[in-house]
Formats: sequence, structure tokens, C-alpha cells
Amino acid sequence: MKPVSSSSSSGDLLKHAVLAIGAVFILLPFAVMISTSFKSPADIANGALRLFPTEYYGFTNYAEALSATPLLRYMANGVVVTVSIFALQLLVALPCAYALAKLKWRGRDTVFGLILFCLLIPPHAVAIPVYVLFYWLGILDSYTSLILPWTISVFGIFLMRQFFKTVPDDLIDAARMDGISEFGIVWRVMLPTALPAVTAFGIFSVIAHWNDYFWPLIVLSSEDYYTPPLGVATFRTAEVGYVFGPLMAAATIIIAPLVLAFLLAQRRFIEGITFTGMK
Amino acid sequence: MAEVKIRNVSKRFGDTSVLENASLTIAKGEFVSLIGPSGCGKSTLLRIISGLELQDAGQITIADRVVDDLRPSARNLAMVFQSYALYPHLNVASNIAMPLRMQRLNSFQRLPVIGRFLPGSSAANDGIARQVRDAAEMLDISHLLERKPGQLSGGQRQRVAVGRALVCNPAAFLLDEPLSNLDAKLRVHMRTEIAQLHRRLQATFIYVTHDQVEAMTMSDRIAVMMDGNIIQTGTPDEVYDNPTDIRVAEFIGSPKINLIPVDVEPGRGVALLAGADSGVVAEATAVCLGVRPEAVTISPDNGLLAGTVEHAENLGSEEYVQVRLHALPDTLITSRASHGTGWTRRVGSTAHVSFDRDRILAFDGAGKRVACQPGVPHPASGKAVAHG
Repeated sequence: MKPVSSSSSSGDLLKHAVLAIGAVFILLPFAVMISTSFKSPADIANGALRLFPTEYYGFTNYAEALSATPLLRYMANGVVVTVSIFALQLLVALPCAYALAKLKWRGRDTVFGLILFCLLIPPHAVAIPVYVLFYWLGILDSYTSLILPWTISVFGIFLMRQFFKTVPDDLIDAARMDGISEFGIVWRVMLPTALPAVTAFGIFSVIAHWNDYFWPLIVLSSEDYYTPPLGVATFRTAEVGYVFGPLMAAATIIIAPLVLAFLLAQRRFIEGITFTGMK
Repeated sequence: MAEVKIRNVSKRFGDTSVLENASLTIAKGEFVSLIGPSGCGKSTLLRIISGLELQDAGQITIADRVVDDLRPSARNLAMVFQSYALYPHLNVASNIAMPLRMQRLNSFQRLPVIGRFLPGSSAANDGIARQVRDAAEMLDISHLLERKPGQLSGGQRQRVAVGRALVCNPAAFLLDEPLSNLDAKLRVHMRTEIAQLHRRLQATFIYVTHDQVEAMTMSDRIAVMMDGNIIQTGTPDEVYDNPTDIRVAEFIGSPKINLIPVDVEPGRGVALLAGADSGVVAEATAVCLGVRPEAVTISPDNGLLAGTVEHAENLGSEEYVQVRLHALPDTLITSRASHGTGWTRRVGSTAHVSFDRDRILAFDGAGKRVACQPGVPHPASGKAVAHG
């Protein structure tokens, strides 16, 4: 056993200092956003760096945020789109990952290589071809156009495949002996076993698509289907001009569900990441 | 409970042949162990019987029905795995119930929540619950039914795995090294329990192991496998006393059998060990004699061959003494000496070994057993008589 020396405790101090600076750096914009959402226009225009507002203006800002644009509608759209995307991603990724991790077939490694290769293709590179395709199919400006391109998540397949690799073969053989079909094994054995990894993937997926600005901006033209980030954008360019208070209130509202979801799933999320990191 | 027949089964993985023409018939209610070193194909053979692996050639028959085209679950077998393979997200009761649920409920009845209210499912569920309780009682795990596998010890998990196997009343039990993940003490205990379970159920058991003690203590018959072949099948006594192959002789028995190079005198056929008459007559093709450690007598002053005590282990109940022969410096003879003979204090001293002539086995150059029996002692050598 090594005695706790002063050098190690000062090392700890340094570590915590670095982490604290990093945390402040990352949290500061959020703090500014939230504090601005409670400030009056005069307070904001003043330009002084102040965390707490001189006069409480929160109710006005949040009321304005919710009334100036159909923010709740945008958030409902966001929920429909992100939940559908995640559900469909699982529907595709879990059987794929199972086949890649646990079934033996000719060309499996080649296929896995191709899938890894797909990780290298940025979605923006194929945005125009997909847009043209959707134009021909006549499905632009719809939920379908928001959801369909993201249903196959290469990252999801990869992550789940790595996790499934760690599930012992005996468990799958036992399920086969018990009479569970191959698809049954995916949903009734692999999915419950891989719940931490599914949660981790869920957080990645939901955050990415809740916050996505690029793709909805391209395919949507009617405001009925707007997702939260697009909604905030309309807010900024609305005829009232730059009103930071309500804008920041709107931003706070659309971020809140993500923060809540992360806090709820945090433990499983970290479990999932560390577990997949083990092998 | 059923007879299981394995007929000329072969299996290759790529270029390596794991099973070559293996044949074995396991009678109704018999406990047969498949034993061999790792990589001998014993687990593959078990997986082929279960249907988890398909053979390239040959036939598997269970209860007079050819099962080659049947899925694992349709063969009415149950398997206990080395890692127990319990569903980690289900509690003990659900784990044991799984095979029954798959058999008795259709896919709608198995749906969570809604399934309970479908016609017929509550009667089926009651039946399943009763059988699960019975199995749990039999294995003394009733108090664990609500726990998850992660909260159980190794031995308890083992029982749950056995419970999942016996609840569906299978034609035969397949056990794939079920005790090798347990610690030594628990292994001895579970060995007894599995043997008792077999006696109680009177079911067919096929047990794969690399541990010859497990095979010897539990089985009605042992099938010894080497390099993809079943080289000998017989009762534990037969396999121990009358191995047909030098590999069987070496694999079964601990400490290992002593193998001593031998010259057979042409004509009379007397087996000579470093020129000394061993007292047995062997076939001319014999190149080596095998003697079990308990058939070796060791004495400080007289015997057939002299050597130096190189090492002695005191096990309390007995002593294992290793003697390096002067005349055959490459040969180390292990003797099982009785308790309190004090050989551990005599390491480095000279000892004389002699053999129980009735228990000497002879093997030819290919490792096959050849005939060998006690002969008339050579008149010129009185040594064989001294310890005859």
C-alpha cells in the first residue's frame, strides 16, 4: 500500500482544477442562456456581464417564447421524429448486429468491413442525392422525409455488434435449446442483455436528431413539420427582430427534455459506454 | 428417457477434421461420459446430438427416430452448459419456466401483460408454475425463485441450470462440462448430486468432461475420445483395468500409468526390462509395458529394478513415490505407497521396484494393446519370484 503523500494530493488538486475549468468552459454558455432568458430587454442591451437579472422578466420571456411561435408543436414534431428514428434504428440495428456478431455466414467479415467503411461517409456528402431521390419519390416536406434517411444507423449497428460479441455463445445455444427462434433471440435475449448499450445508443441518437438543424432545413418547407432547432431559428427572424430574452427562453425550453432524459438515463449510459469499452 | 444412437458421425471445421466416423449407442436411462483431452471432439459430438451443430455425415437417432433434420428444440433434449447460460434479465422462476413457456404457449400468449388474458393461457401458466415449483423443490432452490442469476453463487446457478433442463422432462440430458466452473469442494458435492439425480430420474445422461475423476465416479459407461475418434467404450473398471489403447491407459488414472520400454525375447516371449525378466510373457510386437502406480511395489532393499527416489509426495492417506531407474535413466516410475511408509524422508536414497505381474499391460509400437500374461519365472533370475 502506498501512503497518501502530499504530492499525490496536490496532483489531485491539479486534476480537479483542470476539470473545473473545463466544466466552467462548457457550462458557461448554458448559464448565460438561462440567465438571459430571465432578463429584461434593457438588462440585456446594457451589456454588463451579470449572472442574475436586475429585474425579473422570466414570465414575460417564456410566455413570449411559447406564444410568438408554435413552440410546443415543434417540440411534438421533435418527439415524433426522434422517437420514430430511434425505434426504427433499433429495428434494423439489433438483427444486423446479431447476425454480424453471432451467426456464421460466408462474407460476414467483408460485410462488416463495408459497414465500418460507411462510418466514414459524412451524411452531408449524400444529402443532395437523397434530396433528389426524395423529390422523385414525392415525399419531401413530410415526417417520412425527416425519418427515413436515418433509419439505418451504421454507428448503432457497430455499437450493438461490439456489445453482442461479449454475450456468451452458450446463452444463445441455451435459447435455441429452449425453442426460441433466431428473431426471438434478438428481441427476448439479446435486447434485454444489451440494455445499457441500447440506452447509450439511444442518447446519442436522440440528441443528434433532436438537435439536427441541417437535414430538416433542407427537406422541409412548411412550418407544420418544423423540429425545435428550426423553430428557434424562425423565432430569431420573426418580425419582432432580435429579442434575445424570448429567444433564450425558447432555447432553454427545447433543451430541457434532453437534459432531463440524460439525467434519467445517466447511470445506464455510463455503464453502457464502459462495458463496450472493455473488449 | 430414450435410447440415443450415434452412427458414423463425421464433422469438419474447414480443413480440420474434428470427428471421424464416431459411433456410440447410449441405452435408455444410461449415464455415459464422453471424456478426452481438449480438442478431441467430445463437445462437438454433444452439440451434434443436441442439434446446435450439424454433422457432415452420419446419423443421430433418439428413441428410434432420426433427428438429423430437426431443430434443437424439436429433439426433446435438455442441455446444461459449462457457463450455466442463464438468462441474466430473468429471475430464477422465469429461467426454469422458459422451455415450458416456449412449448406450451403460442407467441400471442407469451406477450407481456396481454398474454395473460388470452384464452387458455392462464391454465397453461398455472401448470408451468406448478412444474417450476416442483423442480425447484427437488433441487432445493425454492427460496431463490425470485432472485436474478447475478445474485446467485456458482453452485446455485448450476442448480438453476439443471432445473431448467429437468423441468421439460427431456428424452435425454446433455451436460457439457457442467462442473468445471465450480471450486474443488463444490465440484465433489455436485458430482454426488448429479449422480443421485440420475438415479432418481432414471433418465439418459450424456456427460462431457475432461476430468477423469468425474467420468469414473458418475458413469455407467465411459467413452474415451482422442483426435475425433471414440477409441474405447466400457464401464469405468473396464476402461481403467483393460485399456485397449496406450492413450486411454495414459488418460485415465491419476497418477498416470507407468510406461516402461520393453524387449521381448524371441521365441519364449519373455518381456525383458533392461535385461531383467519382468515375469510376464508378451507378444513379440510389444514395445512397452504399462503398470498402474498401485501395482508397483517399492522396497528399500530388494526388487526387480533398482533406482533412486527422486521425489515423494505425502497425501496423508498414501504416498506417491517417484523412482528414476538406474538401468533406464529416461524412465520415472511412480508408485502408490501406503500411508506411513515414510518415503518422503528418503528422497535421494536407493529403492527397488517390482511389479504385480497380473496387472502388467503390454502395448505395441502403434499404441495398441497386445496380449501379455504372467509367465513361468526364468530359472536364471530369481528376482521376479521375490515379489511375485
